[in-house]
Amino acid sequence: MTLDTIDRAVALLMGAVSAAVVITGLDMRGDAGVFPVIAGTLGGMVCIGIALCTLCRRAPDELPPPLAWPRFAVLCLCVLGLLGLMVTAGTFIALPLFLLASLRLLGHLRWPAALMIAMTFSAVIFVVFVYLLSVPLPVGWLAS
Amino acid sequence: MDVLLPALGNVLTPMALLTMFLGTLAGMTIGSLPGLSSTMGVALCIPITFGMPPDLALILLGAVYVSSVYGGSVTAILLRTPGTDASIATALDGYPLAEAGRGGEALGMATLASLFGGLFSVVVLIAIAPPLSTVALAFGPQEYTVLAIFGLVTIVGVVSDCPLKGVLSAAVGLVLACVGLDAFTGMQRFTFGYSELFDGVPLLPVLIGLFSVSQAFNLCVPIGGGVLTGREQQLKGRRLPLWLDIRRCLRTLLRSSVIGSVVGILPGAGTSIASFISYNEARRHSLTPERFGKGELEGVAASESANNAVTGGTLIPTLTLGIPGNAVTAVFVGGLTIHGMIPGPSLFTDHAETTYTLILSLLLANVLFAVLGLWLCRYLVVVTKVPGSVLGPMILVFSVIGTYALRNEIFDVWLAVVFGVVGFFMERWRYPAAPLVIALILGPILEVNFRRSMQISHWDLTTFFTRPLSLTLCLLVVLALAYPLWSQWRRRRSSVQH
Repeated sequence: MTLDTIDRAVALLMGAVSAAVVITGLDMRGDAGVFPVIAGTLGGMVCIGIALCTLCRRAPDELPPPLAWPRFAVLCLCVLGLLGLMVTAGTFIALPLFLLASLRLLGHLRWPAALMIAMTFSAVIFVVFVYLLSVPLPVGWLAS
Repeated sequence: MDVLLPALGNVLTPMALLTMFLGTLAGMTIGSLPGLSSTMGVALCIPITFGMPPDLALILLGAVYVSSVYGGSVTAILLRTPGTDASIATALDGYPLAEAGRGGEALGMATLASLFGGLFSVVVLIAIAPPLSTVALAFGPQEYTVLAIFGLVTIVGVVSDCPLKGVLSAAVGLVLACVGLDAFTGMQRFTFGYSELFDGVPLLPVLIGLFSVSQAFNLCVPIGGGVLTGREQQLKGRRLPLWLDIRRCLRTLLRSSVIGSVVGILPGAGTSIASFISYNEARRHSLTPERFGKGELEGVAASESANNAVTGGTLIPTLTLGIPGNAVTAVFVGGLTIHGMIPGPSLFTDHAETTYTLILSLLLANVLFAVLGLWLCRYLVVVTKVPGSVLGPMILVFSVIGTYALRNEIFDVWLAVVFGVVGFFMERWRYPAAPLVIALILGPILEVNFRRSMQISHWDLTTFFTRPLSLTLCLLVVLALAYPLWSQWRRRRSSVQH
């Protein structure tokens, strides 16, 4: 997709959101809806402006920088795994696993190097946040 | 003086000095790594400051801010890859100097110029901020409304090639600012039943998401992202420039520091703009303009003194009026608010000691980065060899844990990740993130003061034009709107004529 097509899609999506904000704002009690209506109207007008600009532009259309979708998907899965495991399994099981997975799959590090970085960095996080700052990070399975 | 002495005492405690040392070290490392910005550095440090006393917290944030701007010059000179956009102009002359075996001199001049610019801007901050905060005490809701509009108008105009994208980003920020319980009626707005959103969209997860998580994605996703492949120049020759060269550059240093400080005060204009303006001015006033771009110490001096002079300048509207001029100061506002300090004139009355502690610590942090910079610059280059796909996951982990540490809410972590992905695509599609953040900060100020003005005036919009201060600010808004349009029209006309 070219940048102009993306801009039009963004304008359409944000235009719909802005319209929803304006409609909700108009239904609000007292003057609670004044600001949402103003912000939504501004958003809507800008979306129209962007859509018109992309239609009237004389400069040649451009492509956004290429995106390595497989790597993006792997990273998203790793992050989802981290957030999911953080609460259930605990932070200090989830962190080394996340680092290990991402360093192996994205950084293509060898097992020993990835393992060493994952363990060392998790230890640093433990010292800084749990030991020094007393942050009660989720402990999950380690609680028992 | 009765505040300055206790503030100086706070800065000179062993704990404060250690905090400043660590902050300077962290800032220089972050600044030297291409892809990691000052904004990200300050945003990542906020969760660490959560458990600290406000004095130490602000000392850390200030040290990271000023030293990260300097850190970018090291890789700009030795690798022709500026660590931050502030040092792009530095690379123009710094790298040719390094190629000619004068890398040590170039780094020495960059360090001295950064020190000069940084100290100059802090002096300007000390001179201007207190009187401006006294003026701001006279501001009513009308003035604050127009001031918030002024902040928004100026930021969207300069941060993007396409101002409409900036306005859309700001509009999204304003819509997000509406989320939460209404301050006047107590009505729930756009919370979708999430109790975590009753106080509004939390600012810090959004900041960490947009500036740190998105950067981590930027480092991890491209194949070989973040690895510097440029030919590294060895540090050879002298460590410091000759006194003759320093004396030759004195006028440039002073001019560039003034430009940097003024540009810093203007909302929206950042370090890169200041360094390019100063670089061009230095070339224009030079007796040997043909040497610029081929390895001229004056070029390095102009760029570096200007970008570091911006640091103090940007804090002037932030601390005195509560209006952040750029993304870093928007993050700074987040850092102040988690310690119960609301940016604005009250900082110079209710929290004067802490505010002056920050200002004085900036003076010392400038000296510290200069000393450390001359000593450690060769090692900073080694850090830049770490691949992005190794650095990225670590930044992501730090962002996730840091966000959780703010309120111990996993909701905030999800929010940061969502905004991280949004920020990643915004950057790819050329939508600036800074207007969104600044609108999120200014939105509540704008709404509360606008509604208060309307209640006082019984919905009479002329109330904004009947008070002298408010009218002056309105004229500034008109000027801020008209100037870019006028300059665009002039550019078009001259291109048609040519």
